[in-house]
Amino acid sequence: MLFFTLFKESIWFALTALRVNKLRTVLSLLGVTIGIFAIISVFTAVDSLEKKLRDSVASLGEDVVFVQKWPWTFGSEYPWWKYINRPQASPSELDFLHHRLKSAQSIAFEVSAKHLIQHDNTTIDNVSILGVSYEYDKVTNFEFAEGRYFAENEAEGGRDVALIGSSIAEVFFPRMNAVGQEMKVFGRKVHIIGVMKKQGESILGNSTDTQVILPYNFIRGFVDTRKENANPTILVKAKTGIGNDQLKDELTGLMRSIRKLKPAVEENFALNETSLISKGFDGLFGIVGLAGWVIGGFSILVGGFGIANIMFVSVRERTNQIGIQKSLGARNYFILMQFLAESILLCVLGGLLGLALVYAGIQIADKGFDIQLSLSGANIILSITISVLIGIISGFIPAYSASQLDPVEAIRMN
Amino acid sequence: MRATYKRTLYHSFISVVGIIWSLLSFLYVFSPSVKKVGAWFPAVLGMMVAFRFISMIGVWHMKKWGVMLFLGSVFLKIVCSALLGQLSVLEVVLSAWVGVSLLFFFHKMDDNL
Repeated sequence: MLFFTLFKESIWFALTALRVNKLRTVLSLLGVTIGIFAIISVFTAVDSLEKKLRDSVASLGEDVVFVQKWPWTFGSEYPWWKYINRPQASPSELDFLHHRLKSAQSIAFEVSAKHLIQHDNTTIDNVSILGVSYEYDKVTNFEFAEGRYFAENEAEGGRDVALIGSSIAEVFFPRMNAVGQEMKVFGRKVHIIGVMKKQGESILGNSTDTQVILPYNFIRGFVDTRKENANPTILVKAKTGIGNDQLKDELTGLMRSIRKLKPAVEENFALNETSLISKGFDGLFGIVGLAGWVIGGFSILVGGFGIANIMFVSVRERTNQIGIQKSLGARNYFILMQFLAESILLCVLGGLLGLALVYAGIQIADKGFDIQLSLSGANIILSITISVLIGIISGFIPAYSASQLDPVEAIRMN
Repeated sequence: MRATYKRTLYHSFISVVGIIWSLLSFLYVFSPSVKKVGAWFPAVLGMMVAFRFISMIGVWHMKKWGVMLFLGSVFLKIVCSALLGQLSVLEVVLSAWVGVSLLFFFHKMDDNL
């Protein structure tokens, strides 16, 4: 009970001291404010971008292997000359894999193109159009806001049916149900049978919101699917309980036999996974986080020295007062706590101001530049922890020296 | 009447190195690698660093509480590192050596705050 009474009194003393010296308080906590702002803003940006990337990668499918011509690799060296003459993945390979692959749960083929689409007098240019085989919905993760996926006969027969993204539905059919309506793709009328659920912006640029999905057998009449920019891909999803490594081993063997590669010959296909993208970005996020940590860390350390300096000044100013308190019976630990509380309060105020600046920055990024960032609970806890710790570390020496003052000498001091 | 407890050169050296080490360790507290362990870990590690810093101030002033706080913070750090599987033999040996050498002078130190 006595401890809490003393603690309350220490806080009260500290608040009074800070109120009396407003300008000094503000100036001395600026160092901590800038440090917290630098660290937490970088951590917030990195965390938000990482979350967006993970969500985008998850939408591609974490347990899917992509059979393609070009490998997904990050780094300074990309030996493109080794890959340029490789053949593209083809529907005949899909058929072969469909019959022979034992580890796969589902398997699909995908090609892409950029083209304009039309409805009445409205035209949208440069829309991402995908041509997919029947099992595509089982390989990738997407949900419908309304409507349905292709029936087997629609996909295999190359019928003129389409699935559209929510952003396209909003532009073409703002006040009505898009399902059952028609639009023009490649100059041909197609019937809309489904609208995909709003996904939001994707960091990898693969959001379904702005996509049109058509049966592969329909699109191949308009797009040269063997061309480089059609990016033909075979997507393979592993059976439950089978890892991507096991699936890749089987795929490698089968693809080598399809392409008749001799044992000593290097593979002329790439088996890509979404984990490759995550790993590639991990290095980048690591560097950005490290830079923020170094800049913010030194700002905080300098801020801490500022706080320590101001606390020494505070002790010097109130030496007389300390002497009177001690002569009236105040114990050493009470004086220690009084100054330590003042230092911690200063730093926490600085930290909260830094957090407020980060929050303001997030609002500006959101409203001004349409960049969605979020201040996580972990980062708020981290900033308050750092503030309290810097308060303890920078305030302890001045507080301890105040607690050790001799009451008679302290009263005598001017 | 106040007793004076003379600080040896060894204690001065240990305290100065300990204070500098604690300040540098403080930077490590909020590094991305520590944050990755868990949201709570920077707070725990930070408390240990702060305790170690305060304990070194205590050792500088030849106070018994400084040695006890140092041993407490070392124990906490070793338990945490062991739980996370990041126990370093060098760290244990160095901490134990400093701890034991401080205990050797313990009876010559001040009991008060």
